[in-house]
Amino acid sequence: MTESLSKLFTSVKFQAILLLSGMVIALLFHLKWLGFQPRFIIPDLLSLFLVSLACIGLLNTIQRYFNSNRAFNFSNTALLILVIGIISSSNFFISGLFAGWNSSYIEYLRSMLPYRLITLTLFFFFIHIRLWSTTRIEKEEKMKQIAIENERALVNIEMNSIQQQLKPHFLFNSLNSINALTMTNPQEAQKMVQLLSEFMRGSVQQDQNVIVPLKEELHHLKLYTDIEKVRFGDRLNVAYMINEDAMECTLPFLILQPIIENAIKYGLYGNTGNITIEISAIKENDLLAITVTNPFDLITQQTNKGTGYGIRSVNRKLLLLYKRSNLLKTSAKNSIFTVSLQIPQS
Amino acid sequence: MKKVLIIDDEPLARSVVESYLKSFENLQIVAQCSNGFEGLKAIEEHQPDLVFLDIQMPKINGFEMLELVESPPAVIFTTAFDDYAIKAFETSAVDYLLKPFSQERFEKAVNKWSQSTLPIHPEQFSNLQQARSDEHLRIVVKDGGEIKIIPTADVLFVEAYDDYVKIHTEDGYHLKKKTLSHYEKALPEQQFIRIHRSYIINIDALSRIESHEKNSYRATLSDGSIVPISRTAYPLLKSKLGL
Repeated sequence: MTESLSKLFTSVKFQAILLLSGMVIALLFHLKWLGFQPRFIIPDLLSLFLVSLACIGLLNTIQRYFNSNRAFNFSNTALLILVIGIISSSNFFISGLFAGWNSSYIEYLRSMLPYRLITLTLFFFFIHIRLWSTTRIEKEEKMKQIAIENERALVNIEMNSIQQQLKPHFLFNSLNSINALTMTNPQEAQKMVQLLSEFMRGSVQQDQNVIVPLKEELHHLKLYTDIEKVRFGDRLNVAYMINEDAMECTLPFLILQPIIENAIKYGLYGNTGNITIEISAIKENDLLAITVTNPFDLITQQTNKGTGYGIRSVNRKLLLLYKRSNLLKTSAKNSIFTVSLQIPQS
Repeated sequence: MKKVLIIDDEPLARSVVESYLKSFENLQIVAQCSNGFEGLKAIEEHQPDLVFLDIQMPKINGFEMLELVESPPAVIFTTAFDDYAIKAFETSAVDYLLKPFSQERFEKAVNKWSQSTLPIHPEQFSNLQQARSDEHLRIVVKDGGEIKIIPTADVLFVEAYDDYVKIHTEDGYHLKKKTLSHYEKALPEQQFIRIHRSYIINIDALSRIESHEKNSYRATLSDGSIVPISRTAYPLLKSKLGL
């Protein structure tokens, strides 16, 4: 009850009605006291009321589009003065016109002008503050809503990347290979279960931004490529060309994973024959330089959906960790796709 | 004896099917293929009664291969969970097996095939039929013995031609046994528009629209082909071009 009452008292409409009825009472009082005829007073009141109402509407619209940070900046104040000027002058003119420029009524209007101006000024400054603050609140709420939605989108992206890491396609196909091996080669099946378990454990335990020596990253990567080699048989060869110096260099854990996945995917699905993925790493001054190459087929790559998702995620991660956007480069030449990575060593 | 063909790019996945098939004495494996190209050749050569077909394979996927077969055999799809799994089981698909599948599930699928006396109709899967994920990016065609992948961006227009469609590109046209309404749905809406009962055009290939006789219009495409525009399609085309 009190809530709805306070809502009513703070509503712009209610205040407008309250103040306008105050003006009407004051004018009626003057009418009685000064003895002017209603044909003078009614146009006077009506014009005052209608023009004020139109101006409230105008101010409301203006606030909707130009809601400034401060309630009384230069343009807002100028606008208010203009509005008050328009109301009082139009009121004076209309009342005078309807009164047939009756000299004693004009005289009355003139004497009333200061009081009217003061009332109008107070009233409109009050209205302005109300309009300004309500639109301000609305705007802030909208901003909050947008922020919440952005947050939600971010969470979605996170979820997607987690799903990306779980890679159902890879997992189910690996399980299918194990299923085959249990019938034909149980020992190999056992080995595959071990590879898959160790690989999954590493992927799940990862801390998003942990920095590890290349050795460790390659160990994890090798689990992955070994599983893929079991799946694809002779079709897939993986060549590691790692410089001894590079082994102790550091890099973000799992940064190579999406790149290798991409290389295998486009290598194997862009060609019907056997392919070789080459992974090389050397230390160059303060940088660890890693290159991954795979054969590829332009048309298959262009007409495949979801191209480049993995590479983009790597780029984003590097940007977040090293604040540099030029650490990953890709090139395609003579049916070979190359990804080059530079990881700063500090 | 019925003839069976296995098409899968993973050797171990083929060996699962091979092992499971041992319990069916009346089924004989005539060939095992590791991609769609080999698969297509083997289907034409052996005319198998049943094909176990993987979906994700090198260059062309299982659906695309099947589209190129003149009279498709009965097919049991074998696929891991992926984007394709619940989509588009159209051309004479008997069943689909999600990898890894058990022997029981496998036998159920084969029994379903052997017990169905009628030829299998694609309608049973029509509720699953959707625009396939790659079809708005490319169309696979067969010219003589050669299989070609055409990016949809390179398609100038598609023309109805009896039971076929002609897919026109800069290098001439390719025939494909499909309906024009199929491509009306499959091709990307923002780039392609059906401007006539018998024509879908690539808006990017449109070079001119001119009036032709009274109340009728025709379009000239970048290769110089002239295509009629139907009266009902003209306003649609205009609004799509923002005119």
